[in-house]
Order: sequence, then C-alpha cells, then structure tokens
Amino acid sequence: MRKVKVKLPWISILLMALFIGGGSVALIVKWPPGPAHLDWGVWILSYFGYAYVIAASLFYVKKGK
Amino acid sequence: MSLSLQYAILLGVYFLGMLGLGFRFSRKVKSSKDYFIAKGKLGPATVGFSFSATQMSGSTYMGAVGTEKILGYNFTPAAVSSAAAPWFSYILLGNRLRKIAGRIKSVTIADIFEARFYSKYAGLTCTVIMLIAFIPMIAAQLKAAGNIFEVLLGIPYLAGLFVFGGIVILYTVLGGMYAVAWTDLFQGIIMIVGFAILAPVAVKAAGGFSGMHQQYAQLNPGAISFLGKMPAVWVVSSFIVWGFFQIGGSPASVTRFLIPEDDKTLKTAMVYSVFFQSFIYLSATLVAIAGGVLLPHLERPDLTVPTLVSQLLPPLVGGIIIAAVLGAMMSTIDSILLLAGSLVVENIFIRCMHKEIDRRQGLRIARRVTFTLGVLALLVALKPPAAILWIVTMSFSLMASAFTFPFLLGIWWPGATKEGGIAGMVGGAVSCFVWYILGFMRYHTFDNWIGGIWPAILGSLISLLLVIGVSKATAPVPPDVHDIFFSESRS
Repeated sequence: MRKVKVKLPWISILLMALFIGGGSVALIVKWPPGPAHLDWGVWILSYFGYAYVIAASLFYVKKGK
Repeated sequence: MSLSLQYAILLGVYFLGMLGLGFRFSRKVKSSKDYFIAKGKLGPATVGFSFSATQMSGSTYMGAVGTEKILGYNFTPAAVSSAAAPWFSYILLGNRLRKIAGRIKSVTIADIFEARFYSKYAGLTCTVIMLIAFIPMIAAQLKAAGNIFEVLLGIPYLAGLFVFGGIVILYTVLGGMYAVAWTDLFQGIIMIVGFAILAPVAVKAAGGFSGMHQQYAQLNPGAISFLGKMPAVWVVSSFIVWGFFQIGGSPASVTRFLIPEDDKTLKTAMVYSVFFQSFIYLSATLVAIAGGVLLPHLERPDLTVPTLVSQLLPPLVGGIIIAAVLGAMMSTIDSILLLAGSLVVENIFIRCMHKEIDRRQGLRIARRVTFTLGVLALLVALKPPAAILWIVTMSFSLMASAFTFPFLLGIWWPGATKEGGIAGMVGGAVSCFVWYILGFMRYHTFDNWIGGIWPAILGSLISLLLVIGVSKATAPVPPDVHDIFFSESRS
C-alpha cells in the first residue's frame, strides 16, 4: 500500500469556471436577435446551457477529471 | 363529481402509496445508521432523484414559476444555474465526501466538520446553524401545502395541514432514509410526468414556441431578454448563487453523498440528478412564459401552475400535477426532517452529551426525535409568525454563507485549520445576516440588498477570506487529520 495525494478534477473545474464566468459575461452583453423572437444570448444560456451542463457531467462520468 | 373531489380522490390514493412505502421500509431499518443514511443500500436512481427532489422544493413549482412568469428571461439564468447545482456539488464534494465519510464512519455532515476541523465545536456550530434554519423551513413548506389544500381543494387549512404533515412525518419516522429516498424517487417521476404533460400543452395553448414569445414580448417587453426588469448585478448574482452556492446552501441534499459505498453509484446518481433537474427547470421556463401569455392578469403569480392545470388539463392529469407539486414539498420536508433528527441524535445526544446507546436504542431514539421535530414544525405551521417567512428567506443564504467555503477548503486544502473553519462558518453566517439587516434598514424589505449584492455572495466571500486568513495565522493541521483527509491508499 502506498499513500497518494488527492487530485483535483481540473478539467471539470475549468468547465465550471467557463460556465460561471462565461455565463456571467453573457448576461451583460448585448446580443443580436435570434430565432423565435429571442436573442442569441437567451438561446445560448437559457436553452443550450442545459446541454452544456449535461455534456460536462457525462464527461466527468467518463473521464473522472 | 366536482373538480376538487376528483383531485382529492387522486391525492388520497397518492398519499396512501407514500404511507405504504413508509411501512414497507420500516422493516428494513435495523439501526440509527440504517435509519439516517441507509449506508450502501440505495442504488444510483434513488440517490440521484432523492438529491434533486430534496433540492427542488414546492417553491420550484409555485413561487419560482410565478417569479419567472413576471421576470421572464431575467430569471432564467437562475433556472439554468439551479439545474447545474448537482454538477457542482457531486464533482466538488460528492466523491471526496463519500470516501471521507467511509473512513470516519460519519452519519451526518456535522460529523465531517467535527473530524476535519478536529473540534467538537466545529460540529456543534454546524449543527446549531442547520437546526436554526431547518424548523422554519419545514414549517414554511407545511404552510404552503396547507394553502394548496385550501385554495385548490376547498379543504380547511388546518385539516390539510394535519393530513399532509401527518403523512410526511409518519412515513419519515417509520422508514427513515429508505422511505425518504424511495418516496423521493417516486415523487420525482411524478414531477417529470406532470411537467412533460403540462409544458407542451401550455406552450401550444399560448400560440406555439415562436408565437408565445412574440406575444410575451408585447405583454412584458422588459422580460424577453436577460436585462430589462432587474439590474445586471441582481441577474448575475442569481445565476451564481442558485448553482454554485447550493454546495453549502443545501446540506439535506449533500447528505446523499454519504450513502453510496462506490464511486460508480455516485457518478451515475449525478447523471440522474442533472437530467432530472435540467428537465424540470427547462419545462418550468416554458410553463412560466406560457403563463405570462395566458394569464397576464393573474393576481397571485405563485398560482400560475395550478391555474394553468385547472384551465388546460382534464382532472385526472391535473391531479397528477397537483400531486407533483405536493410531492416536491414532501420530498424537501422529509429530507430536512431526517437530517435534523440525525443532527440531534448523533451530534448533540451522542457526541456532546456522551450518551452510549446500542443499535436498537439508537433506532428508537432516532424515531422519537424525528417525530418530535416534525410535530414541532407542525405546531409552528399552525399559526406561523410573520417572521417565519423572513427566516426562510434567509435560511438558504445563511447556510450557503456558512458552509460553502469551509466545506470546499476543508476537503481540498490541507492548510485549513480548526480556527479557520470555525471562523469561516460563524463569520459567513453573521456577515450574511448583517447584510440582510442593513438592506432591511435601507429598503424595509428582506428582498432588496445594498448595491443589489446578494447576502449569500457577500457572506461566502467573507467566509472564504476568513478560512484562508485565519488558517494562515494559526497552528497547522495535526498529522493524523491530514492523513485521514488528504492521503488516499493505493495498492
């Protein structure tokens, strides 16, 4: 048996930082109009944001990082 | 047969099902540890759904949908962020907490604080902050359920309160974590079915996805984008707080990380949680926008979902959605009740009062304490004081401020000391509370804060600075604590 130091899940932490940092910036940027009377910012964060979170979760399950 | 009676029959069947689960699992519980965390005995679906159902209370379906109906896309960043909460919590806390809990054989979150910060005062501080927050939280959920019975079913408030409260308390007391997790799974499935039916029907009735947004933009022009009704600081803060800060703000959910014995169960549970919460929050957004179009003059926005249900769906389907709303309340109450019971038994009765008890005694005491706490919350809900709503508003922020960074730094940073951990918890909670009071003094409400800065963010930042600053200035962590928390054995 040997002792090893705990490892941080760095890639997931970067994905989280991108979600929080990128998402916060996206909220204050003026976005051009997109489909269905919504602007692109709403589409990216309020709809595709869910897909990002699901994909990032599956990445962690697969890679553990 | 009246609509109320049809709803009441359906809910009666639903409640009997919940009670049946409580009785079914009461036979499986052999000790207080079984009762409080069912260690290693629940699968990924039950753990995942239970985590999420606990996090999403009845307010997700009532208050949050009502707020989103008015604030529109100013509020959706908070919804997306709420769906991301399990992603943050499982990855940053879940697996580390599972391993540590296995090593120190902990039953509660407070056990982990006590072991990591090598002081019974750390565990006690954590216990006291949670108990202060929990009783009014349970009482407020019971009150909301009583109101639903009154408004939708025409059943008097007190009768609804006793029936609903009695059933939740009974199945929790009987079956402990087994019953709580399995009823949460069942309630979660009902929530999915309910919103899977309501969201497309509501969107279609409002003119289809594009037509609905066109009308919504005309009725509520400031709410069709991220900014327009609320200041930018508020929108950005809500996005950060409702996701990341659930790490500390939702200890009843985080307790689920103590259940699995292997990494695979926990990871699969995360997938269930993320899918479940994403589906619910996305559907809630569509229902809220449709509500803004179909019910623009509704006096009580929190009744958006029940009103849409009664106008758009047949009674049988509507009853399922009402059951889903009540189920969300139940799943929050049962988990908080169980956690509060475990804190009193494990962290006050056994650890602080040094009582030695065997397995059967432990189980008996656990049930009695859980029952007593439930009855106490029920009594508070009989005639809740006005202050209860303020306390509930503050509860999440207080816990987020007190626990988020002591938790994260405690399990990832070997440099966090006892003094740093306690200072972070107390300083975070106190500064959050003071920020609420300062906001109240200026604006005469607890919903408005100086500079629009959310108390949970300010309190957490002060907590972070205190954990780091005080830890740097105090004696390092003892080697045995360092070994337990920061060395992993590999063969």
